Amino acid sequence: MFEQLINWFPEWARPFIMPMITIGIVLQVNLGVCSYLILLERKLSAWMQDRIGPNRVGPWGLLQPVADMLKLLLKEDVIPGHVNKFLYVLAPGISVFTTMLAFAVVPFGPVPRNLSATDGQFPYIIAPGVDLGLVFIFAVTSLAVYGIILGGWASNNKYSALGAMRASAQVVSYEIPLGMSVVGLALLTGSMSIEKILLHQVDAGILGWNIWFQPLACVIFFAAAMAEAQRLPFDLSECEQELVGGWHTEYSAMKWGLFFLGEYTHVITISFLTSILFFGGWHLPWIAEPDSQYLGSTLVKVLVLLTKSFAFIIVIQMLRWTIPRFRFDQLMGLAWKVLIPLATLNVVCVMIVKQFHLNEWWLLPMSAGLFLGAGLIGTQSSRPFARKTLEPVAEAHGHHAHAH
Amino acid sequence: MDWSKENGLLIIPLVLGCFAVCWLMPSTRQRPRILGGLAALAAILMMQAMLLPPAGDYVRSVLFFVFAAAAVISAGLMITDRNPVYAALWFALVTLAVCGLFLLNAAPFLSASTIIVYAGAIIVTFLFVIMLAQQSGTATSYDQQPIQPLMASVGGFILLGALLFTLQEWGHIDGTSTSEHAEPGQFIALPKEIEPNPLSQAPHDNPHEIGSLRVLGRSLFGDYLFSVEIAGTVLLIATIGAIAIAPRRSQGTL
Amino acid sequence: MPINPKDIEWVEEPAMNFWESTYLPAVFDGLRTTGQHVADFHPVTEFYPEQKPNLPSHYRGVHRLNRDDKGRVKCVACMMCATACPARCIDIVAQDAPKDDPHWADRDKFPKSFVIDELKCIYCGMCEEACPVDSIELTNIFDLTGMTRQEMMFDKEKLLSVFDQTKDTVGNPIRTHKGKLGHASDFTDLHTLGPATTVRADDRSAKANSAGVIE
Repeated sequence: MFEQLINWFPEWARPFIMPMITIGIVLQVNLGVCSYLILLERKLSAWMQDRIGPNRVGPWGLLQPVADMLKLLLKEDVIPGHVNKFLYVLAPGISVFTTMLAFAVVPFGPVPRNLSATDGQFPYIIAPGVDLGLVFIFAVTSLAVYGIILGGWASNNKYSALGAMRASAQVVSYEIPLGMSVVGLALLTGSMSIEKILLHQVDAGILGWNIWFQPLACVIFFAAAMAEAQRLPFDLSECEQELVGGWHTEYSAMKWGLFFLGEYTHVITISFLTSILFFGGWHLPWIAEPDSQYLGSTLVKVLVLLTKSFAFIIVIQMLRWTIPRFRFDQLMGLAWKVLIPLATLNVVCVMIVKQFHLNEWWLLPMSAGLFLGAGLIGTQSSRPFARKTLEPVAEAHGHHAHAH
Repeated sequence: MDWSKENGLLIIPLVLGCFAVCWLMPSTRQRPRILGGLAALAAILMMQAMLLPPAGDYVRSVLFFVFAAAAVISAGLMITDRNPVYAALWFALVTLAVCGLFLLNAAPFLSASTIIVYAGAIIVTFLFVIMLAQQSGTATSYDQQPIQPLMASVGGFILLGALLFTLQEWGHIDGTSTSEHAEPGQFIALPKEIEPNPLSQAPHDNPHEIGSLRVLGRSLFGDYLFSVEIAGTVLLIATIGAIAIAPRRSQGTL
Repeated sequence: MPINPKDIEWVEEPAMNFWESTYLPAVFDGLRTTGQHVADFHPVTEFYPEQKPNLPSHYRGVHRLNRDDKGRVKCVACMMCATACPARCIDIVAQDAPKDDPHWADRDKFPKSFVIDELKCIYCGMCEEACPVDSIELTNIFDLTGMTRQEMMFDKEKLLSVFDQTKDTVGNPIRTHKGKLGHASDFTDLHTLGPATTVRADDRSAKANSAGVIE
């Protein structure tokens, strides 16, 4: 496909050509898609709330992202006088850089087997052959919180500082269930490489998709990833109703835009990862099989993957306008008391199945059992909260009053 | 070979570095910071001259020196910076630079997990605590004065010196060193070939697999199973202790 | 002052049943609700500049000074509106009616000047209620703009011209008749918008033992 282009370059430069092309495509598509995702989110929220949404710029408001982008670029870029300038400017950069870097190991199409950098095949992934794809993603996205923390701290604003502190506690907590939830996949596949997990499912057909064996892990992964990306219902760090804008209260113009670019890139990464890790990636029975070789089959495979990811983006956006925000103690309780034990027990289940060479289908009832067991414990432990906590205080007050 | 001729050169950068760190520590008196900076630069340059670049091509050497210099300079700045938030950020940079060195030495898992654990969790917690303690822009003198700058620097650099001397000795004994064509007093950065652990059960036959997850797992849960389990138990005890210390709901917290 | 414990009513948090404590059914239930709104899309948005809002007839906008059947200003300069005004935005200068003029034969006083500062006004409608002769009224004109503060000081001529402009429009009937409120106070046929979602009696929020229960 690209052999002639590659051969035109000197020998030493050839390994860099395909990655450069891929990076260019991914970056540009990502920027465009992000701005249109914002339009989609605005439209979707409008439809869910019986409104119409942006409809003035272009037909059906389709040029709204262009107008938004122009507005962000042309707005006065205010740097308040009381901020720590260096960190204030650095923070949006970190936010975008880390989320974009995480996309490097996410395949966005049928990655060719036996890929080499110089044979001119389009790789459909920026960095092919990373043995530790999942760990790499977690490492890089765990750095994304620095953008939030530094932005919040450097703003020298109480709302920003509160948002940043919430974000730091939240991200550190939710990294654990996020990592634990995919350990089961790594055990089932025998690799941490995202490409290998994808190929493992593709070769096994639709009944080999990981969702059949790890439905609980899928739910945990999805919830924890949304918490990592600071999306509602986990957006306590920027909740408009109490913290103005949270950590980006003091930001304006394109710096603010960069934060949102980072957030939407994170959402795209989550959606791709969910569809690749649990829903078979580009595989769709009879239409996009590994051995389907009809004209345009590669394009169809890319489209299948994009459609699956798009569905998850829609789900994430709908959840944002459906579920109310957690309280902070509920948020921490969900991570430490529910998700982490469930993810750990899920890994134990996978270990049992692998160790005793049981049929992998045993994992489906095991996951369901864990889920229902968690619900049962939740019923037992949900007790009237206000009375037990506050009653002694009230009685003490009463006693006090009697004494006088 | 004369001991002082061989090792004397090593003492100079150590003393210089110790002086620089001590000089640059935050203090109530105004000192010309440029003096400390020059001393630190001289120490780093002398140390660099004693290091042999690791075996390999130019890209590797350049990357090695970039990461190493970033780690050392960030570490110095972490100790000497007046602002605790900047100190935590320099710490994060130290971690990232060391992770780069890990990657360079074909240990991607170690690198990624160090980033997750240190940069992604521990330093974030540090920042959390620092941000709770002080806001940006507020001029507090609290916690900005080192208590024992001189003793701390000297103690630290004595430890560093002992470490370097031991490394040097090890490099000589190892036999794989380049001591024949190395100048006396020069340092051996790393032995060229790492001998596999003879007791290891991990497969070494495939050179591509060195540093891969499979080999690492075999090594951790095969060769070093006891250490891993002990470490895990200690961490578990710490977790249980933390939960036990935390106040109960009936004690008035959420 | 500590609260008397007898005054504290303890509201128990309702215990969650099995499916509620697993979170997911509630999530899907919420998604079903919002999804239904997307699928069954009946927007209530009004395209404002092109489509004017259908305001209820008790809407309180710009004031007007009514004319009587002879075309004179109805106002008798009694100062009751200026007294009732909580924002003190009404300024009236009264003048004795010329006795020899047959045009003013039945009147003692009329306002020489009548100025309302529309920027100070809080549109509470108390002037309207205070007026004994149904002279001052609030129309449903809400989009008043001006380039200067002076423009927003509405004098007698301007207030009368508001009456001329609005007396025949649908939404601005003469509201008060001899001190009794007209049909604008009849709350049964007000065209206000209903809530987009309704609360059913069997919803948990409706059953909760707290203030504001919808039966």
